[in-house]
Amino acid sequence: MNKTMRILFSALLGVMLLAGGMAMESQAKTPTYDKVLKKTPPLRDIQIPEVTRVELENGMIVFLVEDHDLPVVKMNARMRLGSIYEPASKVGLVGVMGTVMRTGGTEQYPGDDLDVMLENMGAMVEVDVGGASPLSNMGVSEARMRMRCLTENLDEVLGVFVDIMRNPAFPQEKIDLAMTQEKTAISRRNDDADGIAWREVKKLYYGADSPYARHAEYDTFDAITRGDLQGFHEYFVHPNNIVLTAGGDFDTQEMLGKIKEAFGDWSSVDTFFPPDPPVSDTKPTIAYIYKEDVNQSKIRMGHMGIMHDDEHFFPLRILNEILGGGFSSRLFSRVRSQEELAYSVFAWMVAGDHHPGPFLVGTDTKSESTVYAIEIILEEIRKVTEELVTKDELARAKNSLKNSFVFEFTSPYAIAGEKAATEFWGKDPEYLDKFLSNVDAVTAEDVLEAAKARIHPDEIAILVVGREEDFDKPLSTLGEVVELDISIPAPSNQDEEIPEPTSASLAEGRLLLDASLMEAGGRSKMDKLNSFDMNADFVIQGGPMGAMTFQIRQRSEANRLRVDMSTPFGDMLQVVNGDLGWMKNPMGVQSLTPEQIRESLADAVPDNVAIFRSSTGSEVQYLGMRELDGVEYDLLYVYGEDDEWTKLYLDRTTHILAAKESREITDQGPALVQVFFSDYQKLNGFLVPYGSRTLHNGELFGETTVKEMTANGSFEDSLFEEPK
Amino acid sequence: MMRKATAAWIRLGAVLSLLVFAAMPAWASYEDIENEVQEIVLDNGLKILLLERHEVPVFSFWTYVNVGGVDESTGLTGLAHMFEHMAFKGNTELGTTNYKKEKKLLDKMDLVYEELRAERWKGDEADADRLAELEAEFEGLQDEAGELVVPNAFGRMVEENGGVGMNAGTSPDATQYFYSMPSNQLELWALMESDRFVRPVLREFYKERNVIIEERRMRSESNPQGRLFEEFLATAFLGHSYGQPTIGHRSDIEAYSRLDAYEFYEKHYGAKNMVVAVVGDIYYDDLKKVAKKYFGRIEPGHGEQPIRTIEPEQLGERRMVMKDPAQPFMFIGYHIPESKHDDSNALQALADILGQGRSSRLSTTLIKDTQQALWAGSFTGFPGERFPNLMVLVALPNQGVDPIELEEAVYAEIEKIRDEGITNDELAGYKQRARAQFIQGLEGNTGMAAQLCWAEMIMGDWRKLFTQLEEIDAITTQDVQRVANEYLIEKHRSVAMIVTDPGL
Repeated sequence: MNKTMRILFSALLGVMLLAGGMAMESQAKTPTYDKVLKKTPPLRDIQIPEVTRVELENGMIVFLVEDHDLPVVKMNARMRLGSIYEPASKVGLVGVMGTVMRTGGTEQYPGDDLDVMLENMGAMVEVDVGGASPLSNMGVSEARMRMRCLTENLDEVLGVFVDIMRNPAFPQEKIDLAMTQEKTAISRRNDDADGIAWREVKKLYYGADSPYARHAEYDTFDAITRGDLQGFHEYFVHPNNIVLTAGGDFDTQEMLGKIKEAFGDWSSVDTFFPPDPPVSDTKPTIAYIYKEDVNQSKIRMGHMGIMHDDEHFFPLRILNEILGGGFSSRLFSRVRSQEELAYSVFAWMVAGDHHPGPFLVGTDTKSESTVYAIEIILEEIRKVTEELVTKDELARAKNSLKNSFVFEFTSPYAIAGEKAATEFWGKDPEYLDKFLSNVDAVTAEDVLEAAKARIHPDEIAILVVGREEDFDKPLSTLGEVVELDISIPAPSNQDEEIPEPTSASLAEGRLLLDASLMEAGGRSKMDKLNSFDMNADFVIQGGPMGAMTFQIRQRSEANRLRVDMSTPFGDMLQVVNGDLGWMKNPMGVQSLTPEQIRESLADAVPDNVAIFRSSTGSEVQYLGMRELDGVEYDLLYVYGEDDEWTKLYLDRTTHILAAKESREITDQGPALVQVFFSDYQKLNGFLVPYGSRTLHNGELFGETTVKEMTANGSFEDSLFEEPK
Repeated sequence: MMRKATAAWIRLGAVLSLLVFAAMPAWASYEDIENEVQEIVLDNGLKILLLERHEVPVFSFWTYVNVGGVDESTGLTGLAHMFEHMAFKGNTELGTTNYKKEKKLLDKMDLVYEELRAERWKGDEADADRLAELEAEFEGLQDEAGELVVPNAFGRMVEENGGVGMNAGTSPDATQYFYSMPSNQLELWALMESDRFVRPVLREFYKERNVIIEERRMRSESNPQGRLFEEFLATAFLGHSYGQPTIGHRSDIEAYSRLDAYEFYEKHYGAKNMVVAVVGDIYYDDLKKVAKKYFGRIEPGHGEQPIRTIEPEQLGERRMVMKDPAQPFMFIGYHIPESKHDDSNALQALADILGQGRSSRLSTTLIKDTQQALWAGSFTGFPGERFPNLMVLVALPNQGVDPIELEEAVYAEIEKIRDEGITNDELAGYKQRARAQFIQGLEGNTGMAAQLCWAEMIMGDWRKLFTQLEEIDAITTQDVQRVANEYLIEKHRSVAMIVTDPGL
């Protein structure tokens, strides 16, 4: 009998006697029950299954447990991977990645084939990255891959499990399918009040932009590329970021052999450091969301809670039982049984594994009792921070926790999983061993102290989803109310419908573009421009530190480029020399990708020159007159072979290019990018703009002012050498 | 105390039970499990099933009472669910500080309430003064009785003594109670669980009615799919009580009385109309002893009560279109026979191949290929299995897809099976899948107890859980095509859908 079992055994015995005594104390006379309780036998010993822990050379940690009751094997791989690691402009990335890992499968096992293969074996392989429950890490800071199969199919299914984990193919058509589904889900997300309440309350206690609360939009899905999915997978899915649990009908050594064979040749990657959890700096808010089609309000309240290693963990665990968990709690008794206000009512201090969970309270009550219900819930919450819980309550809560403790041991696989979670999150490895004595040690004073330290009734954010016109009292009775707008932002790439081109509109478009080129000086003058030397100031707006000026000198030829930048962060240098390119900043020198090289060269000429040159082979369609900022322009729609489009705004009398518009992925995410040109001056006889203003989604992003520009000079070769 | 969609999960039990005995591996065979199930039949007619599992000192039970929404008559809908809630309110000993005093007050309340209700039903003709007087008297009695209540004593007793997973569910077919306990609490459990049916006290009845109205608001009235669900049932069933909402119509909940519920209990809660399954660390002799002592006290009762109304044959397609601010959603239902019927195995195979899982026809075509559906699936046994019911297809269109187009695409998939049948591979895959799912479904004490009850009450014998597998193995592709042609016909179809109208 190991230590855990001994503690368990003796504690349970003690508890049973106590339980019998308790019933005697209460006012009610329950002789039959008392008699039965008194002769409750002790619970017999528990056989705790042996769990094997192995750390592979590549850092993967494996927990194995045998269970031969049924011919079934289960596995579960935990990874630190979740939505908190997504860039703000690509929220939803991890969800799509998880979905497409499974639906897309691998080269060897395409997803559609897998669907048939696995289901015809009654087997399951899934990638779990979602859930969005405020009570769990799933999808937020943790992802899991799971499999389950009959023993007879183990080798085959394990092969699939490993291949999906290591080599997902991410086929584009399954990415597109996932996007369609995700976007449909967005369109449906305000249908149900419950979904709204759970989604929005997180923003109140973590902060709306916090990685722990924000959610995807049409635009963030539009920004996600196949490369993002591959990059994320490569960055996060590696052996030293995985804790694997295997349980079921196998021989441990044999199974370990299979696991080593499957993962042994996978090399570890330097671990990354997860971002720090946010510190909530949100002000306590009373937020209201109007929902027309309900006769019941969804009330969700909360503030930041605790981590699993909180010094007050056990008193708060007891307090959970007393305040808002189960059939015996104060809130259940008061709000449901006594006041008949609700079917569902709860309060829970969630101890987060990775980041502080919320202290979360909620109920659903008829519109007509909304404010009253909030008031009495707040009253109950206040009470636990002001008064000692009763002896009776304390004893009951302890009994409940201790007597049900045996259910921690009902499944060997669950026991192994608990050990895996403990290691994964760095929790106290003796948690279960010490559980009973820790529970026993809690006093009413401890509970009060914990409540005072961790529950702050005046800092609780309150969210109500409902119809205020039907409420018993205005919500403002409770304090200042903020009404939240949850209307779904339309995708910003919803561009105007472009009419089908006709021969007339195409001819007219080409004619106008040619006229614009002619007005600037004509093709032959333009083609004679073959190198540029430019000094300019670029003022960037809207950065976190306000406006910043970059001084730029750019020297460029057909396939060579050098840009010297003087910035508030120090000097930077970009050099392109044929197929090679480098970026030098205060942190060092990095190579440019072929894509970056190509783009840099194309952009290293005056804007209108770049446009005239690149539109030679494109369709140019005339869309008619268009007004922009109160000025009328002729609008051209230039459609390239690569599905890229640009809109050009031409002055109606001079045909000079006044502005261009396109949709691009910027550093801030996808945006409608507009550039207005000004200050046209002749450069070797060809008019080029010396000034430009760039707008992202209608907001000024930056302004460029060319101070000096010459063309067709020649440069020293040394300028284009790899920077040191 | 939840009105869960129990039918669906019990249905899962049904899915799991459809398996093949082919290729039996070397481990303990299913016959062993079948032979390990022991029966206790008490003198009052109550059958208790036991599957001993001694690995961990815990056990789970499942009490299945053969009474549900289907047994309710017009005006009294929701009573089965109401009694389920009352079964958590204790008994003559548990939940009160003085039962004698409490009983007097409750009896008086019953009389006042009957009078009050009669006055209310007069509507505009009601005597306002008399109404106020009765209401005041009623409230006074309720408060007085409330002072004698030990709140949630039943739940406390379970929780304090280590019980977990305590809940109950009412479906159109049945009312079911369950939780799990450490195995040294066998006798306490036997006392508590039998007391629910031996000496229940329907206390705090009218307060609980308001809780149930909140439950109704939450599930049905304030949820668009919940609203559609009730409309769909009412559309599909003309006469049979499967068309009624199990939680009850609002008006009925607001009117039923403690005496109504008591009458309902007396009529349906006899030992002959229930079965109890126990799975876990319990020995036969111990169970038998406490079963006799405690469950033996339950009145034998009348056994299953007949439902007179037989759903008349549907003569043409019925459609219900609900304009709602929510996004489109549709139920499509076809009448099929009860689960005991010879065709139900083939229908179950059809529903699985058509619309269950990633490789099903609806998923392959509508979700993956044409991408018209966010989700599409099919299942049988809706809303229950005791009586002829529906095979239901559920479809949610993707953004921008006309729901009518999706509906037609669903019909096209049905037509394909009607015309060309299913493939041998599909059927073989189904049988193999069912076998694996059955084996995996044997895990867990609570699930096992639930499955035993399901087979005993819905299929007529718990052994069906094991023997039905052979029947499944006998299904042919022709069987599946035949039932598709026989049952999935336009004339017998009911459709309910949400059509989005943001102006509402």
